Amino acid sequence: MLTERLEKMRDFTQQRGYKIYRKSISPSIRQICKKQHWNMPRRTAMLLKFMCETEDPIVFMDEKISFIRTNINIPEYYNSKDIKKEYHKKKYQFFEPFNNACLDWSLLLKRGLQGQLDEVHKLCNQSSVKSEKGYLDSVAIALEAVISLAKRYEIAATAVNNDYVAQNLKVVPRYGANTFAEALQSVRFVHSMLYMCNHAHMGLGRFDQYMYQYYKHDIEQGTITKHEAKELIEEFFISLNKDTDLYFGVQQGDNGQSLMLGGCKPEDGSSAINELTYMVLEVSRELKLIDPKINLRIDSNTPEDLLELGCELTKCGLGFPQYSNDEVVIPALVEQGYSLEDARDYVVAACWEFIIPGKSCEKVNLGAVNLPYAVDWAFEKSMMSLGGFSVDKFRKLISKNINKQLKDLISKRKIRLLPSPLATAFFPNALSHKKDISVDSKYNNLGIHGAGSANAADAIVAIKLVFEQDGIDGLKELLKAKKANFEGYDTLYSRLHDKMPKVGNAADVVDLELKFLFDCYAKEAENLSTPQQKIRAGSGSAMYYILLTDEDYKALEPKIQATADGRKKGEPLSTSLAPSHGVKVDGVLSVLKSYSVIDYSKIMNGGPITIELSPSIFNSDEGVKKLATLIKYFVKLGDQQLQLNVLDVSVLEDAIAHPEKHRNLIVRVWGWSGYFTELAPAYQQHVLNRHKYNL
Amino acid sequence: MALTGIIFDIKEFALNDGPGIRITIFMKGCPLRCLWCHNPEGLNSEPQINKKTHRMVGQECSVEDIVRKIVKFKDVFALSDGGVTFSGGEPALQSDFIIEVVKHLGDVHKNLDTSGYCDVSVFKRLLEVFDLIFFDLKLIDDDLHKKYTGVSNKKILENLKVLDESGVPYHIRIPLIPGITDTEKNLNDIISILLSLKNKPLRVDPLPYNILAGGKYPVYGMLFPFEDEKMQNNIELINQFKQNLLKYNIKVIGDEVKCLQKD
Repeated sequence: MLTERLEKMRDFTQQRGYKIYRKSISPSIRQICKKQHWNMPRRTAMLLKFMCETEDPIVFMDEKISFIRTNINIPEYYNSKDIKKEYHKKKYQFFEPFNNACLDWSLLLKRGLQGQLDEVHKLCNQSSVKSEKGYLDSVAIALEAVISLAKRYEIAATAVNNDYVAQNLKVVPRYGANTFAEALQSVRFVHSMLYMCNHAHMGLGRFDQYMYQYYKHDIEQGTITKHEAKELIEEFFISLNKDTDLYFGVQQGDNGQSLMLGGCKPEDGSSAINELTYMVLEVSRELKLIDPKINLRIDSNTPEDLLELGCELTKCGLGFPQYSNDEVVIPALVEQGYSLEDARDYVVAACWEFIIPGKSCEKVNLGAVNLPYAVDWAFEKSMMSLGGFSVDKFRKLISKNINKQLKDLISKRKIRLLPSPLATAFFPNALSHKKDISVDSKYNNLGIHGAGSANAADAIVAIKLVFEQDGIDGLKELLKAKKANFEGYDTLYSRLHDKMPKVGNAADVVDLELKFLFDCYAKEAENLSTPQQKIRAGSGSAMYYILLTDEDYKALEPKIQATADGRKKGEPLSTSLAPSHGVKVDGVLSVLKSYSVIDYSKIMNGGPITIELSPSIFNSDEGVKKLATLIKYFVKLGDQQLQLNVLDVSVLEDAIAHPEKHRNLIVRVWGWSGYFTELAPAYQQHVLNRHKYNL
Repeated sequence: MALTGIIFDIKEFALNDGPGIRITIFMKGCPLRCLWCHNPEGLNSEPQINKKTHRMVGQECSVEDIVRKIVKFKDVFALSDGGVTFSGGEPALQSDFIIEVVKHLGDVHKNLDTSGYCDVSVFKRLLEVFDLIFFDLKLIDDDLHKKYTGVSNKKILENLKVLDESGVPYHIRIPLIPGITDTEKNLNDIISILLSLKNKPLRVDPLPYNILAGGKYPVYGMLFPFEDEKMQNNIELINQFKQNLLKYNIKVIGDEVKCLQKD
């Protein structure tokens, strides 16, 4: 139960009440930067300095963790001309603000900004290289800017007699934290600063790990009760929901505030689960807020009660926790060249891509391979080839096209991340090299999504079976039908759409094609990898399941028309690892089993098996327990990542309007289950209303 | 000719059909015609068309097909002491088929969800191969039973005795149909029957009436003969019934019956 104070705070935050404190000061600071011949690291530091100086510290009398952003505009501090001048024009085609990384938060808590500032001064004195000294100056400017804003916050706290916050801010973020409350305040403050200097998708890392010693200290000293600690986490989480409308993302909420729980200790691989692991899940369940996005690392030994708590959170319908299987992820990272210790410390970037906090600065979402396109292209090419279609030729051409798509992405989408002097202070390797993390990362790989895998595998099997059953004439007909978007080909369409084997039914005939597809992808990615830069093949679709079907979307990735699996033009592709839309599969066990055929030691950029559940499964007394068992099964099968979405009213409404897309939606009522789309309208409405009532 | 069965659905991750993670096989065809039946597609033994999705419902399967389908999930059953449940329709109607299937399942937990309406000899053979039985009790008055289910309950009550004496663990499931099975008289009769049993069920599951039951009828071109929107269970009576069972040391599912309200 939330206290009244926190409940008010949550409501205030959800209603974005803090907006009244906002202002917009955005004079271009680009001219000054230009005049001073400042490089990008310096400009970024100066931007942060400007942003800190224009902030009005707002401290509420009854809060325990402070910071909200008041200046909402990030002024122009460079333009494309400046960048091109500074960086080799030919080497990069795109420039992106620093994103998708996770700081070494434990370092902040241990040493504070001042500790790293001292380090910067030391390094500066040791160096005689002008560019290094210049860079380190930028880091110092960034750290000092934050220290100075924190000081002003401390004064503001004193002014409203909030001694609690004032005392904490006297210590953090400037110095290392001593208490749990200080640690939380420190992370909240510095994490916000990253967004203030135009960064995006900055992770919150392994919260239960870097926070634990402070929690334990306070509990042992008797300065805090468990209940108070929980309240502090609640307040910390509420604070993470402030300002988020200012954060860059594809959609509102896509802000990268991912938080990782559980897993193992980097040094020896023993379980890292502690009291905070549980507490965070409980807090997230009570708050029901979109941030932070919870991820839970699990393995065969994860305690039952933790899994059940995860399921309780799933039940809330927030779409998290997202589970990842350490037994699969860690060896995969090691195989790609990550040290075992680093691999054991993994977190996820904004969505699901595995990265190492304080070490990785990787482009984990460079783009997507359009897998259905590769199949489609290979089909058409093999039909036109000398000697005609053969399955063998068809397969080879699929691989060839995946290779081409990868090459295009790698060579034509060269992205340079813009520097981050502030973040670099908490990437110890880069700092010790006196270089920005954007150019001196221990791991510097490229991650590429693999979109539409279910449609692609379904299409392969459809083409193969039509060939087997009707020979080359059948394939010619299929080609024509596909070109006509199946108009006038009703019989063939329904054969392809309804009668062919589909991914998700644990049927070898099609699952092996899924495996083949990902094996091709992995092989081509491996071929294009270099010792310095691996190509990480992924199974995620991200927004590409829509974008790749949209002709108006202009990008490198090829667009896809109608496909041989009976998917019409414009219809979305399958989501990450999920059966194609409108396919009625046998059930969740089959889906988990189907996806266990993928070699996740090579398909390792993340991208979860995505399963939509009806909230009614929780009507059974044993729903949570049985769902926890299902997750154990996921681990046992050697699957990689899992997202369980409990369906909400809007999905049910969509199911009424477009039943063909929601064939698998199951509603459990009393002693029986029915497919939602098979119920008569009056009853659908009834279920819908009940769900409304449940919400 | 090899043995085949007709099934109309397979449900994975069935939550209310027995212990652990289960898959439930729905066998097509039923000798009963309960007015409130919620699986009308399971009544007829022949495959039929779902008028809404235009898909064929009811598929002829070989023993091998079904065994393969079940054994595929052995891993998950082992994790949870789960297994397979045969439901329907009335699975006993295809007893040769399911017995043959079950023989090939090894230590997978096997549950039979039955109306109990079959010949005693058939029922005994089923009891030999199943680990748990969900046994329906609807109406004790035979005239009413005939009226609402189309058949006499004689065989059912006889089989209940056989079941109780067999030592195979079982649950009693009671569909609580307002004004029909949830009457004071019928519930008392059920208690008397239960008290006359030697071994008693593991548990009694009174299943509250759900208005949604009729939703599937139109899509199979059938009329729901039992549509009364005002129908509701007599909650007081049902709670009293549960209290009584507890008094006699018979375990009951759920603490309190909550009736599903129409909005």
